[in-house]
Amino acid sequence: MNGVHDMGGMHGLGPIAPDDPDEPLFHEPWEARVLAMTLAIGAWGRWNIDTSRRARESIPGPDYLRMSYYEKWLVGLEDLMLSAGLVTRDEIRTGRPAPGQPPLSPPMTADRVANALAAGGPATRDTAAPHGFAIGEPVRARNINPLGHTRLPATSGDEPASSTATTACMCFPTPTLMVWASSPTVSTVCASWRASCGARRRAPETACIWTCGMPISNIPDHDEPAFAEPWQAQVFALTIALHEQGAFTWTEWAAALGVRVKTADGEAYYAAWLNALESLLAAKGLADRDALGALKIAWADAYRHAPHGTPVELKR
Amino acid sequence: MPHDHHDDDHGQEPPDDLALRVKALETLLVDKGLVDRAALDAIVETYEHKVGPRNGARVIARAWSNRDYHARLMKDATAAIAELGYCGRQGEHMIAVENTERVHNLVVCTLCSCYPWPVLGLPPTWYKSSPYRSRAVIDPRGVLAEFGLSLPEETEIRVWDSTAEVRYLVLPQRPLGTDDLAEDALAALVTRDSMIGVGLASAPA
Repeated sequence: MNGVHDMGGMHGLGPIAPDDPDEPLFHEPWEARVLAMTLAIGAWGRWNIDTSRRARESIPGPDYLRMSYYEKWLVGLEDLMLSAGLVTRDEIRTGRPAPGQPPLSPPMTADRVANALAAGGPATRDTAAPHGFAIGEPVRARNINPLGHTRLPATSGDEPASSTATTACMCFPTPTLMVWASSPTVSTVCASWRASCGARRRAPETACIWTCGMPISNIPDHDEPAFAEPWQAQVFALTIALHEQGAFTWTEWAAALGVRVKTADGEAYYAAWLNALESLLAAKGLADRDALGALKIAWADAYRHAPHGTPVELKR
Repeated sequence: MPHDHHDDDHGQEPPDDLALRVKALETLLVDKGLVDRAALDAIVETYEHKVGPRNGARVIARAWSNRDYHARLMKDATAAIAELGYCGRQGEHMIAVENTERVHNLVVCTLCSCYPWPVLGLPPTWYKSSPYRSRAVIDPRGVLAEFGLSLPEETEIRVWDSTAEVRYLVLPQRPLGTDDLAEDALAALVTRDSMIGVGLASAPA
């Protein structure tokens, strides 16, 4: 999202006011309560950090610039709870629970606070895949604006640069996927777990949901199409859909892909992807290699027997 | 400011609108069983009194005093910081960046307020403000000047833009004349601002 929150590099936002050492942590007691409520209610697990970032970033620009920091948290929290169905507008307005609902049990009790805060929520994921970029390798961050939260600030976009550091493989918690999956007009094509957590380059970068923590996501050849061949898009979409249905976890997929992409480069990338998908489905007992081989022959046959200009159909 | 006149002359002036709104929200969430009031108190207590820049100062002092620890901090800051018992929320993935004669590091979060809570506590207001977020990446020298810090022209300034996952801790240069100081005394010289990169560690008294 390229709203006013993405303000790195903007002019005209005024002088900085360094604090005095005695500045209180919270200027008003209510600020502390907003922070605490946000952390405590997060324990219900109804949203993740991307969803909550998006909630704050969705505040209209003029309001965003006018509001104090914790006011933005308050508005964001209300928005999250409304979206998750935890509260209704009427309840917020009246401060009273709707009648007829028995009270729930909060997941974060006082005795659990210390452990919960100490545990945090690590974003690293195990993968056998190599880093997407070597240090010193030329990179160019693409100017992309998904409607959800992105780690990629506008200020880093479209300038030739080079990779200065790599971090561990990390996941984006994918609220964008959750939100966008319901919209048929927006395709959540995200090949970036490849760009970031594996393989060398050439990912179509669109609505990225995975990264390695660095906001650097592609090399300078940014005019190439997302997919070189339709089959690449197909195998890509198949993988996303299968994962969505729970056929395998990201970790399993990343591991399967990691094994394959070690040996692949450039054009061979989606071939490695396809190999990885076939292996994973075979290992899961979801698609038998012999059956796939037979279908491949049947399709070749169908092409040979289809007159020019007619659709190719598989006879069963 | 004149009081509103209600029937009860002994009543208190209600707090402002935002404070009332938050009170109403907390009451609602407690009544619904969505949050536990004691847990809220414990969270506030944690960030008001237990977690803050003194944690980070101990990390820095250890790195200045102990060569092996320094190496571990630069290699895997998350693990090295956890050795001192600091870990968790908003500091799950830490990177230490070291200031030298040649390089000065500055940390910002242009998109919001990402900050390494376990070692520095909650961020100061200016860190979360539009002026700092907008200018740190385009005019770092100007920003440093506003904090009263001017560095030699030849010093390279590296600006680190934090993400939701990755947080940075600046390892400031050890002040001169501190060879004889023990870790505790060194930690007293480490300011919060020096660990963000808008200041230097203090000189010994």
